[in-house]
Amino acid sequence: MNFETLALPAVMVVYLAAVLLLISSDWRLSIAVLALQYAGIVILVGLSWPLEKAVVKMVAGWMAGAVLGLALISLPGGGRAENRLPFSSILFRLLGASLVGFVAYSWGPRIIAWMPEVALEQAYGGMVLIALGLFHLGLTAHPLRVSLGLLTVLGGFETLYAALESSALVTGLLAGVSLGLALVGAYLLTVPTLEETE
Amino acid sequence: MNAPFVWILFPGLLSVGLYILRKRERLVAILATSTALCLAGLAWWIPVREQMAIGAWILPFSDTLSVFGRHFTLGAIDRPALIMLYLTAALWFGAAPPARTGKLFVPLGLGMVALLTAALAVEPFLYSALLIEMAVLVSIPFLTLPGRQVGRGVLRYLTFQTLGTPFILFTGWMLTGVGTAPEDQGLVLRVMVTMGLGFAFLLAVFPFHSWIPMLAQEANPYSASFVFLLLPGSIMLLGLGFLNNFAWLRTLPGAYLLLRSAGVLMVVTAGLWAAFQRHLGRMLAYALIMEIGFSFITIGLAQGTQTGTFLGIFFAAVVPRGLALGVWALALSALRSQTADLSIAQVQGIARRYPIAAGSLIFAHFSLAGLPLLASFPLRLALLDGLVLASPSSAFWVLAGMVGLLIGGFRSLVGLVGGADEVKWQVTESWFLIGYFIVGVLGLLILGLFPQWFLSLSASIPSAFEQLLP
Repeated sequence: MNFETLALPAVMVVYLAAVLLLISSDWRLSIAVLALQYAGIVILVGLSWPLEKAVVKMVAGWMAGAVLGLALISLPGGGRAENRLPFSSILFRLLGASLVGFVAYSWGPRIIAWMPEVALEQAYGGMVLIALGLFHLGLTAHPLRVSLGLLTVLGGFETLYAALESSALVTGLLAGVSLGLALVGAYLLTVPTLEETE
Repeated sequence: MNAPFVWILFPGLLSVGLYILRKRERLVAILATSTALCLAGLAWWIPVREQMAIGAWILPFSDTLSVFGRHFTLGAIDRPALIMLYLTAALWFGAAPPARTGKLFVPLGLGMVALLTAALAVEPFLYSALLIEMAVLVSIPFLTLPGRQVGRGVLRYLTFQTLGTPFILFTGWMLTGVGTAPEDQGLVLRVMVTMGLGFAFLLAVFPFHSWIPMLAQEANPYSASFVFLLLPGSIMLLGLGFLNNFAWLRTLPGAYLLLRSAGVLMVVTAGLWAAFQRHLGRMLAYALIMEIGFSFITIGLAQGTQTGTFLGIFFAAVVPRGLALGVWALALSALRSQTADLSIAQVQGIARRYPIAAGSLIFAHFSLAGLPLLASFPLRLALLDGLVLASPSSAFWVLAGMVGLLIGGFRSLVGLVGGADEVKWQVTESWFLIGYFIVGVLGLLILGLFPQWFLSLSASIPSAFEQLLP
């Protein structure tokens, strides 16, 4: 399957998804957007890998989202503990995200100069995800948000690394790390509600 | 049958079984301790051959397992590391129930040890960064206490360790490029930056060290110290793998100086913070940061004709460090179960009710601070001896850091024995804990008096890094 025509829209998708993750205070929307983000990642990874291998990333990402979603549903009150972000905070995050977007845009060509195997769209997508993921991590100390931020950073790294390394073992280990992050995130979300005897 | 099956797959599968049995805490601890001891014993005893004779049967026994075209190899040179890894696990699992680590510590701790063994065995060695990340993920549940809010320390630990992994993987890819074009200064700089950031995140190098004191304050000290001991050790082995496999890196001007400087910075800052610390858990954390700093300094000194000596010191340091951290953390866990928290204000006079635990804590503290006659002293002396020849000013600053930790020890002592005079001295610890503390403190004294015992155990490990040796 030829992903080249879809590559630039995929960059837009991962950027919008990462921005929505940053400003969303509804976990359902966040999980849906994470799934969308992984769909974009698959297209970008597909520039270097065959589809059947690239899909592993999406399956792992969607499973990670499902694990986090199930953990949130199991919380008392259906996981509605997150406070709605004030307008000023949303505005700050949007401004930050646009700045981060510019940085990623300016760094894209430099990345492909350093790593010639990486396509320009992969460089844009990967940098956007890494930068916005780091920005997200810098703004939160909530287990769900930390998990989403780390999955975003890792998704960006996987986008770039796919062009450099295609080993099946590394693919499997990275998928394992993504799932592990989601499982740990789910555990951290539910641990305050567990009994002390556990 | 092969070595990775014995030391990776079997403990990994057993950890799943123990997780299912986790409610029977003592049984799980006994099973895990005996398994870890058996695996350490097997690493000592099983000869490295292609066949293994059990009674009348002769079984093929390989040291390599292939997974997706990549190899996991545990050869003869890995055996001392396996012995240390599984002995450490046995030491920690044995005292897990009285240390109140929670039901997840032993099963997941064994899983963590299996993953770290896999990290030791995987080829190419760069993939070990991913296995170490998995070990980090496995450790998170036993560092968080059920029924309590998740602390910032554990989130920061997860974040920093996860951020370090991509840097290491990128570095590995770039290093192969430097091998073909070593004159490309831009590439060399990029490699140094990514590698430096990767190891700074993973090894809690200043300013990425904050998760260690935070975690030591939030989590059970015994569980946290298990992570503090095993994780930096495994990451250091990964770093040595870099130096061993890439000739240009070890010949790069200033590489060893950089390592030494990072180490000195860590020792000085940790010593300074320890001197002014008011929380006993955080004090343990700063002692650990200092230990990581000493490891950096040791590797930084392992150059030229001194390589074998200082690599030997690097591996030998694991024994007194492990013993002191184990005793210190167990004592903290014992005290923690009696107070609201481990701040010096809260533990005032607690030594009068728990003299064995408090005394052991102080012994372990002074041992890591390098006090004469205790286990770490001979290694500190050798290290300072080498450092003073390389850089006298660095040796002075390292000594200042050690004095800082010593001051922290005296402040802990004053806090523990102080308080109201009318409280009578009495021994209230359990016999099991008393036995563990006595064995631990005697170990610290014996290792201090006869360092040649543990130095001989680690003497063969540097040969695993044959390219580093002259």
